[in-house]
Amino acid sequence: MTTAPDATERAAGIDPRGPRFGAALTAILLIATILAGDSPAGLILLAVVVASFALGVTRGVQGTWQGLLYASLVRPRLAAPTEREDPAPPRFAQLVGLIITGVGLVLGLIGVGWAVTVFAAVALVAAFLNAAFGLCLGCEMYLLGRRLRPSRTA
Amino acid sequence: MQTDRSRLDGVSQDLLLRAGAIVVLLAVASVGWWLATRRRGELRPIPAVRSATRGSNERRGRGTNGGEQTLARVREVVALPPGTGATVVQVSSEYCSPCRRSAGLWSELAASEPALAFVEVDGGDHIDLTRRFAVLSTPTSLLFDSSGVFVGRIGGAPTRAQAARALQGLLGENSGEGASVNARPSAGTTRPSAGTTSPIATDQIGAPR
Repeated sequence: MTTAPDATERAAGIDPRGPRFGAALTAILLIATILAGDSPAGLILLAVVVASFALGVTRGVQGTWQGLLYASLVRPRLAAPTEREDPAPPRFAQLVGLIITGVGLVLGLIGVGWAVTVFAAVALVAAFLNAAFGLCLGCEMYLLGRRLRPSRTA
Repeated sequence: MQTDRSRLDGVSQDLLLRAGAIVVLLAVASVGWWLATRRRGELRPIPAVRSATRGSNERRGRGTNGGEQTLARVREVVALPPGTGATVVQVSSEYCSPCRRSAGLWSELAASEPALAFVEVDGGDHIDLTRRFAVLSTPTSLLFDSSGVFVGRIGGAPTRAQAARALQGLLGENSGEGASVNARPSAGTTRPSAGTTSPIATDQIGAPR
């Protein structure tokens, strides 16, 4: 007695621990970014984070350097995943990360001093919550985003 | 030189300050996370108006819209299975892994329990519904009793035990309503109700398929 709103099922799923490991690596980079602050080092570190997110958006989390590290170094040492995850939600989270850090990078490049630190801190909270507690950004944000748009009658 | 040394102190002070700020930030984020997700998976009942007589069909709750949060409103915009006992409406969204898990669990429970109906709704397609029921995150499962009254919600994907507990209360108290009470003999009810038998025993729900 069930009705599914859309019947598309992804045949293969990804190991759900992969994106969380990737988020942990991203968080470390972001911590380094914040420590470096408004300096060339900070801008470079943030640029690396932005590039990583861009990779994640275009190729999915499996295609990032964090994902490759996970697949080659971490996953062989773990038991097989008990469940698999649709790769779309982590990819959406990469997009959110790209937007946040991208804005920070652009503002930092044009000279807004605090931008690098502040935007890296925002991204850090998201990455940290994802890595430590499995925060699902898409779950929290999607409906809020849709509500901001004018409603259409269902 | 004095200037070089003071500059170095200034740098390390700044570093220390930043490191401290990061620690505070992550600590606050963790506390905030804990507060927000403390009751995930648990049924959060709508404040109930309890009736003095057990088993009477007293309206249980009032939503923020003054009583407009009913299954009838859901039925206006979503095709629902014909009402039997309890109904679970899960509001999902596109980029949501826990939604799949939760929907799988509810589907499984609904398949094994005829008195329970389950439907999954895309929040993005039904924004008005999400507004009516104040759904902010997904998955959110809205629980309705056999009279179509909104009795509570579950935020996040419940565990099997949490879902069983939520349904136990829902189906146990209201199984006196309607003609569709599950006719199979219950193997050991854990919850006595006035004159009714609980159709679900917890051990049946918990048993893996």
